[in-house]
Amino acid sequence: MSAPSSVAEVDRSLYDFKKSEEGFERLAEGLTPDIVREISARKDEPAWMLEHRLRSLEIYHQLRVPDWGPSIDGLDMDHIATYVKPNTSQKSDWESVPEDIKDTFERLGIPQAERSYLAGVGAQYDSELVYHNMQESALAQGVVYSGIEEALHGDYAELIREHFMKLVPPTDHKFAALHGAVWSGGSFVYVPAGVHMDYPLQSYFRLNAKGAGQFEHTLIIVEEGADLHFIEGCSAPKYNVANLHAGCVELFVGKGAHLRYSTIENWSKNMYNLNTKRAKVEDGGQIEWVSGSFGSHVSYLYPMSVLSGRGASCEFTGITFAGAGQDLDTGCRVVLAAPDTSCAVSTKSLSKGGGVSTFRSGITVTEQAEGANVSVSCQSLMLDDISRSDTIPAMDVRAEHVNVGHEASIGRIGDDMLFYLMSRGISEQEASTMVVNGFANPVSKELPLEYAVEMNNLIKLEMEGAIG
Amino acid sequence: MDASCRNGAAGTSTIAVNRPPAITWHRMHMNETDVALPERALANPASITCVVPSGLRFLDEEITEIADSARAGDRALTAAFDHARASSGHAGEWETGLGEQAAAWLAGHAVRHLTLEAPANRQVPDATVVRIDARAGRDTIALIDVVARAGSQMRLVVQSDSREEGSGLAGSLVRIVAESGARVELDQLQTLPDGWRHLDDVGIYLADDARVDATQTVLGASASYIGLACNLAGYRSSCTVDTRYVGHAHGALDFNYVMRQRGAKSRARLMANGVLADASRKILRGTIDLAHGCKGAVGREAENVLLVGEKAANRTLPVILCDEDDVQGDHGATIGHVNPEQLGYLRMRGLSPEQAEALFLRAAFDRAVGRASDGRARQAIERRASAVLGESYEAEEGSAR
Repeated sequence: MSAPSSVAEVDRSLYDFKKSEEGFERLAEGLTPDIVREISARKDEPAWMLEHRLRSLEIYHQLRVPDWGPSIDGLDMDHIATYVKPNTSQKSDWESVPEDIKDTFERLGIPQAERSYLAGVGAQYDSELVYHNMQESALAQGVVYSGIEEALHGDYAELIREHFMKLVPPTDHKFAALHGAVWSGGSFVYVPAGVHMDYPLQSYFRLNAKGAGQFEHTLIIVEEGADLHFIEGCSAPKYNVANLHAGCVELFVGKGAHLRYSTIENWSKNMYNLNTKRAKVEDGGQIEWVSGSFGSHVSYLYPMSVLSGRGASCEFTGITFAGAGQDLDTGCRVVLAAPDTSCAVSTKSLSKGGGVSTFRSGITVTEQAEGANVSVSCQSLMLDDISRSDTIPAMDVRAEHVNVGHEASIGRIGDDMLFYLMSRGISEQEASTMVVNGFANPVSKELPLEYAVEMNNLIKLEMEGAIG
Repeated sequence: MDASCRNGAAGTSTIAVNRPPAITWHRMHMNETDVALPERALANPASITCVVPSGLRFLDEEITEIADSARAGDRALTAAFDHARASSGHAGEWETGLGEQAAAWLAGHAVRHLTLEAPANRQVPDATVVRIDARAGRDTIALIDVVARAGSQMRLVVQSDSREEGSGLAGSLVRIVAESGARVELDQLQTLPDGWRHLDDVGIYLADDARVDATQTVLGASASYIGLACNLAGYRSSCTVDTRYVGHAHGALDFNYVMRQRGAKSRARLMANGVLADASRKILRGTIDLAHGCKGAVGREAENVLLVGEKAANRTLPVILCDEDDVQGDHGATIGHVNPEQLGYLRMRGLSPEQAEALFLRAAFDRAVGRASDGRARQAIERRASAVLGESYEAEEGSAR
């Protein structure tokens, strides 16, 4: 059967290209107090941050790796470089960015996106931000969007200290502790009360270095009644050794505020993606997660929402596509801890070519959450008989006057659907891709058009075969 | 010593039970439950009685009420069960819901061991009834092995009850091998008073076209641990489990169901319906495991939980594991309070919310009465209902099943 032209048109080199590390600074592999001190010293951090890093390192050594998820035996921290600094400082115009790095982000379409529809962009290359800029209009509204290290030395230093790793403490799990010890780069966003951002902000993370880790920290504070859409993208070229991503995202959503956090994750298939994301939502606030997971060799990814204020709500819309060589364990955690809170979870997962996709969720309705409403829907599509798809949803309900609904289904593409499409002259592969795109549509329609197109292209690539 | 079994307080050992095939975050506290099991005197075997209908072969040394005068007395039956079990699949595929350690503990503490055999192509409509009349301060446990030969049909009823106040432990381990085309109905009822603990463990193997329909009704005890695992190894094998429960006071209910669908076109269905009152709490783990090669298999789970207590707590872990593409697996759950429309309707008829909640609790007992296998089971349910509802309970004639 010939491949459909639509698939052939997709540029496979879009994500899988490598650049030289010449001139970069690379700390020794492994994890020691000296390395942690070295990272802190290079960033000229306040003393409390160094203490935090060293305490996190101790916790890291005390905690065990999870025994409930995919194997991470292939990840050897003794052979991961935790800090690789590109040969540049952070710039605010693309022309000042070194040619190799600029070319990387141009190939990924970041400068074009910034010109077209973004209010601000941050671009991280390996361990450091290389570009950060925001439109004047957003600046005029009092919005702050900067590198978090830069903000740590400015007017918002105390605010960052109050919030940094308070939602995700280093004791949370082993890789949160790792993050606390060696974090580097990432963004800080502050949206003042009542400010509505008309256009999204975006951070893009590129890990180019072989055998390295990326540990960026994203801290977003959306004050009362404010509104923000934040987009996160990431990719890396494929190497024959393990790379590690253990970032951390902390989101504070104020009373009546709204935050949409969208992610298209397309790490290369040698990546261990052990990322932690968490949001705390106050009275009447809303957090919306839109999550597409396509890359990585192994993923542990469960954005968590803590609905701590009356009437707070959470929507989680996610899609995971596990292809050959991938074991993607994704889902979400929601804690409804106040009256009249609500959450709606809708996920889709696909498995193909021997890939393993696991949907894992945990919904906790505390005694305080009287009047809570929860709905969880999980659909999985098996695209062949050598792949695997599991759903492991947990629900803990401790309030009386609540409504909790859950549904999950697993199956394959119906023969009737394929037959219908093929009877109209469409090849089997094209028909399968059409059905899968339709399956993914509830997620892609939540994304800005350009990202929806990217997601559809990723699905086409996965339907055609492995990439990265 | 296995990590899941360790010494506890003097005279007890702690065993982790009801661990599902796939676990999740430990902080959800759903991966397993620790149970401290006593090492104490066993009950008199006479506290367990068995009624075996004609048509079945059986072995039991202490049967006190024998419907079939032609008692088999055939020790070869235990060997027959062991052979059937050993040949019922690859090593390691035999499992029970509570887990290996708990099953071994139950087998080791059983005061009666009944082995039943339904001969090939024999249909035995009357039920074998095993009554566990638990004694306070004692472990009253039955071990029941069943071989349903090809094409046979039989029914097994196991009732755990006690008229003694105080505390104790009662339970059973039921192991079933259903050969090709055999059909077994299993009906388990537990009506122990508050203060008691209860363990029921079931392991099932199904050959081609074999079928087991299990009904589990859990109405009593302060703590109940229920496990059932079924190996649907055979082509078109089928297993349904219908669970009904009532949680009250500070009672704890802990369930683990595992459906291993290995046979092509196998069918598994888990249904659970219950009411949680007062400060009762419940964990239900249900796993549909669609193994590689089970083309055309269908596995379904459905659960409804009615919360009628301010302190009641419900935890649910409905898992679908899928290693095959041409299958259907689905799960649905609703957890909540009586809906406002129903409450409004009842309020218009003069019922307070508390009275309305009591009505739903009462309805759960009505349904249990409707499913009672005989008069003694019905009386036990009525006694239990009176204790839970705090008023004299007598089911109306024709209570709906």
